[in-house]
Amino acid sequence: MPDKGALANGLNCHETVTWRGRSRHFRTTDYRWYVRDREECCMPDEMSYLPMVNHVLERHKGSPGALLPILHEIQEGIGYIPDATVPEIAHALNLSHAEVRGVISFYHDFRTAPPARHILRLCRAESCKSRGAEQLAAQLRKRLHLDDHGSSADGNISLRPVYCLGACACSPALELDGKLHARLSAERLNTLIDACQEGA
Amino acid sequence: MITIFDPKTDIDLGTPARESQVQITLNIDGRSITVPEGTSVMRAAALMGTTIPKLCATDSLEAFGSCRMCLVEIDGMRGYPASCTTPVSEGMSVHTQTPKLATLRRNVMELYISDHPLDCLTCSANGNCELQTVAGQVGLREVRYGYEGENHLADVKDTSNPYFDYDPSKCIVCNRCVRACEETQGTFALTVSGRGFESRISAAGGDNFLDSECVSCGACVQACPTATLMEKSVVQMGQPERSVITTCAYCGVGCSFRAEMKGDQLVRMVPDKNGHANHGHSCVKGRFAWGYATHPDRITKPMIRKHISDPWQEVSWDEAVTYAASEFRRLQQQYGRDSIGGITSSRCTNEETYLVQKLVRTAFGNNNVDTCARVCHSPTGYGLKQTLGESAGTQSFDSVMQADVILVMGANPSDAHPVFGSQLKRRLREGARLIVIDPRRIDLVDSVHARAELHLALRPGTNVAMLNALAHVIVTEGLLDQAFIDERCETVDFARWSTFVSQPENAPEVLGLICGVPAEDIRAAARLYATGGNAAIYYGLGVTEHSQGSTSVMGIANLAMATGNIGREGVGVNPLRGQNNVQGSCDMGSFPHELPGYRHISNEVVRAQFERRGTSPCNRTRACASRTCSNRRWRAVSRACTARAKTSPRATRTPST
Amino acid sequence: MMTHLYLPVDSLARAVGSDEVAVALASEARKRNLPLDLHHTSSRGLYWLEPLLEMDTPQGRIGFGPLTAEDVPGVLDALQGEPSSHPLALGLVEELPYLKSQQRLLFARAGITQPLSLDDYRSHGGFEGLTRAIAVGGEQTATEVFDSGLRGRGGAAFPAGIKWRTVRGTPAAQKYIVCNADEGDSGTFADRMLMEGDPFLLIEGMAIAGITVGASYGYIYVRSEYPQAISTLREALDIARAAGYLGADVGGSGLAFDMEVRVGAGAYICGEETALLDSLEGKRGIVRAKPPIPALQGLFGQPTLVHNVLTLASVPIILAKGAQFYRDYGMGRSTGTMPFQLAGNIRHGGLVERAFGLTLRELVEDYGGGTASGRPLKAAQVGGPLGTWVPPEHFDTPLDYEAFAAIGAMLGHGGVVVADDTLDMAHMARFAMQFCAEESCGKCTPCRIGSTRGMEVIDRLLAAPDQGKRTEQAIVLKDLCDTLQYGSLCALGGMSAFPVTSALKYFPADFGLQASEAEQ
Repeated sequence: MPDKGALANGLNCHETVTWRGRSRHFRTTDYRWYVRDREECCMPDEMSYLPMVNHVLERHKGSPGALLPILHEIQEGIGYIPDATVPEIAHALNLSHAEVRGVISFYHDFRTAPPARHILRLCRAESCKSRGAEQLAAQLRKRLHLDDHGSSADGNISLRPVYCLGACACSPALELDGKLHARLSAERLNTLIDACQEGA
Repeated sequence: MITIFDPKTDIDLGTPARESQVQITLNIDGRSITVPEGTSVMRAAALMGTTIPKLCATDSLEAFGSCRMCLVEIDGMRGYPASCTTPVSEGMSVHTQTPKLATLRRNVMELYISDHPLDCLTCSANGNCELQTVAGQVGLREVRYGYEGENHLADVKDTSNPYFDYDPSKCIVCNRCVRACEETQGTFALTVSGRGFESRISAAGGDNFLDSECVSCGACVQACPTATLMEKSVVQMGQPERSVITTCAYCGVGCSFRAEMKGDQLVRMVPDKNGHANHGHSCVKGRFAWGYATHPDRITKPMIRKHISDPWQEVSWDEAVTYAASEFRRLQQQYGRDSIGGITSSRCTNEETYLVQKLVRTAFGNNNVDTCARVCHSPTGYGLKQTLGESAGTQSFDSVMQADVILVMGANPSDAHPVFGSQLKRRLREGARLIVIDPRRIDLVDSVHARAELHLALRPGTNVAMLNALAHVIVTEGLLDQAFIDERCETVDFARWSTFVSQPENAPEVLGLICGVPAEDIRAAARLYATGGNAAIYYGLGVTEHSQGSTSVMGIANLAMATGNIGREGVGVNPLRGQNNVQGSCDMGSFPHELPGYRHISNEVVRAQFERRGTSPCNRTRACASRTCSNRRWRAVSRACTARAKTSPRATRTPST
Repeated sequence: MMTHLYLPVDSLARAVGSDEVAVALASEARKRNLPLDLHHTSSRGLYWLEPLLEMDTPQGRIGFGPLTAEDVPGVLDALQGEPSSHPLALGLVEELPYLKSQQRLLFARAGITQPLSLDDYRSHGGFEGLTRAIAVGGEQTATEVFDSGLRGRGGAAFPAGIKWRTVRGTPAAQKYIVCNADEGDSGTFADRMLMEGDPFLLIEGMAIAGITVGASYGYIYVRSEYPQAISTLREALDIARAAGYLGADVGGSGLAFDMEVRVGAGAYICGEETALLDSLEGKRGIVRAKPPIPALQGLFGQPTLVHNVLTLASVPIILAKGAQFYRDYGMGRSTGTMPFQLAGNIRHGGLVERAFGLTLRELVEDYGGGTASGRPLKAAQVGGPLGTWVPPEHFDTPLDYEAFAAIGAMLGHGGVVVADDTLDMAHMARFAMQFCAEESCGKCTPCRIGSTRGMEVIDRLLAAPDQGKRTEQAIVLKDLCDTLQYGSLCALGGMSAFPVTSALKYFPADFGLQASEAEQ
């Protein structure tokens, strides 16, 4: 008989029981969340996101093919997509866990771990390359001691390449924390990094 | 009769068959062929014996178009279309081998091999690998990229599943496994992780296959063209050398399998494409869980003991049989003729069950024979005989693919009849609607891509009330198929029935309270069943293993007749039987009150027929204490029966319906 | 007396400082007690002049740019005194040759109207197309689109009218319009400009398409790298709906059409129409095999009209002015106008909308002013990352779909990235392979594995110790490009070869090859 494991608060009514390697969802009228049989139990604080996630799922209920909007909203709210939310999302959309995870892994926008405080995306596409983006990239690597996809150990800044921000008439360009900066120079780049490191 | 599997009959035609009234004639490499509209160029070529190299195409799955090996040249079409995704058109002229195609195919293969281990000789798929075959077909001689580039050769094997291994280093990302898990099995347990060069197949419901949503049906292993997904038994034993066709004994689907052998050892069980029940699919039970047949715990020598407290004594067969026979005789002399009996197994062949009932009737001289159907589907036997005139279901499994509305009552096909469950889910994904009547929230209620529209979670014991409530709605809301009833049904019985169910105490508003199901759900279910198109009912032990089992079955049959859902594909009354030869064991007379062929024991003419044939059934239907029965011949006959049972070969089974 | 100033709210204008200029203007105006009404318009698309501040005069709007916040006090002085005295004064903006010589059908309102003002839109010809489409009915509307010769502006250049007829003629319970706003090509920004600057134009175009082909719902799939376009479109949809241009009764036609914005998630391949449809369905953005074509079996298996932003945005003017009006622009089979986008190492980067037929040289030199660095112009990549690098010897080719195809190049979405002689073509060839590898969906083998191998081959070529080894790798590279071109499932793999082969052909020296070796 499956026994119940850790009890966590949540407004959900799902009971996940793993039996012989297969997970089954049972909707109970007892509004508590039971998790069982996973060696690394989901982090308790990830469970606290479930009410918000269910709110998002409820809002998108009637919309066909709504997985991407849902993932975007969850990431906007939490900063990333916690693994604990995958079974909820899958169940609401009548998808398998595998399908949801496959989608998350396909799109580069979706994060499965909390992000750094600052995310700097330097454009490395043709137009920006023709106006010195590679030199700026080298400057960033040198100044931050990171590679093009690196994140600083103190959680302050992540570097990511991006391929076109639509600012091509004023290359080179980058996006810092969602804000677009174009017509960059080495000096301007240094100023932007200084601002990030000030708050660190 | 043993059927040896002939590989020449199992050619993978690349893409699924298409049915169409319209026939298309086209020209491939100068030869003409006519095929149904919608057939792919690849399949048309395969039908005329022309092999176009392929890796991602297989005829159990819809065409995908990813490997780019099957490119052809078609007059009037630009570029090099993939033959698997190109449908035939009238007058098309196709060239499957040209210098350009040869170069393209070789170059694509070169790319594959640049990211593939070169251990063919020690690989478990050696000799039975499609990548190997196609590499040979296209004449690859060198990989100009070398082998120092990025690759997946260091990817770690997943050996978590007890039956098969997943070796991502050999994966060619043809997606056949993912598609098999989606289209054939309907579990959607596999996906591709990442994208581009990083793409790897992933059982992403957990950390590995065992922890994922995978149900180990083996469809992915069967679909895999390389050694990426491979049975552990093949890894250990090597490739099989021959196959024998057989039928799985686990459940009422009765999947057809190829038992692949090495000498007299079983290497693996592979579902047979030609199986009418399973069409090349299987579940974990028949596919992998055959270890019991050679389990060390099995008893392999006959043993006897006088008392239950005595230890077992190993003896010879002769001694064991003689001892058993003499003990049977002694028991009867001591306690009466009716003191012993026999139960046939529905996992046995027709011949075997026939012999058991014959043993009981002629050797034991009584009618104390029965079968598991007694506790399983005897209500089906009785109920359908009373209503439809035949104590069997009305459809084949394939009929579900024509159903528009499916009602599942008291059954859990996903677990109990998995291969049929998969077929049902496939039909649901095509748009059919599902009603589940079951206290349990069975898998079908909330399955991925195939949810139930209505789940009537009735209280156990209220089946008949539910069926009456449904009938009430159909009759009182004018949803009867009067034409069918007038033409096909007994008018007097119908009138009695319709009057009864129309009574106010049978309304959903009343009976719903007894069942614990909201009245509007009952009404919705009844309306959907009656007006949704082809409606089929599938039921199981949740209906039959009840004190009102027969009544429930009759109630189900009445619903089907009242709505005209009998007598064609996509409808009907479908009992999901327990084992694969329950039909056969009943046919062979395993019931105490019926002789072989369902002929009632009380019928003088029938008994006379059997006596003439040398099988003398006892004409007493009750326990008989007589020791001076005039039937002496049964003693000699019983010995002969036993001798014949030892030498008769394993036989075919009656296909269960 | 109120001073009316106009400053763009376009995201690129903001990226080069128009927000700071706006803040400076407000504070400076307060200091001077100057009553100031700052109108936030779209951008003119003369990006080298952004931030571009304009002021109304009886002769028209005069402009100042490119401004910084520090320039603001001086500009305000000049505006109150002698405007033309300011060093950044540009005079009448619409007299600037760059703008005056353009033929703006699509971008007629760029820099003039406020993006979310329905009044502005309507007073500048907005919704005339929809009104006429409702009046003449679906059959006539579809005919107008067909007769106009409008071709898909996303890059494939397929005749739009054929798609319209196919979808219109296919009976189905539900049909869809899908706008492909996943403008991921480097060197292109016309879609972004239009969505941020004139969203009602796109909405009008989609509404006309919807009621004509019988689609009751539409989706605009915008890449996530365009957050301002997304928010602007969403607001515009709410405004249009409230005004009755979307909903159960579009513009009084009795027909229903509504739509929503969906956001991409960082996958260039979702600009390919079938991968886009899969993404809209909530799946991984994997390319589908064709047949079936989306017009017959598209989104959720239903007949779907998939079009680029510019294609749909061209529809209102075709309906408002008639097919013949549109046909009168352009040359050959390339009718109408194209908003070419000048980018890269170009002095005057921006949007140039002209009828097909002007030459690449006119675009790059007359409009673009040559390289920004002043160094010799080496090549221009036309059509995005999958486009050929065109050397100056071919610059006299007219910008026309067929003419470009004839020189082995393509117009694509109209983006032109200019490079000077410091840009190494071998590096760009390697980048073409890298980009393909980065964005490959992974379905088909040539693209999934070939793009990675392509990078490795180019690396080996460049590191080769001698001529012989270099030539050897060049041959392998050419063969790989051939396999990509003819074996791939979609245009990402299929056209990744073009920047590589053109780089090899026209700039062999960058690879350390002789011209003759590169030709092999």
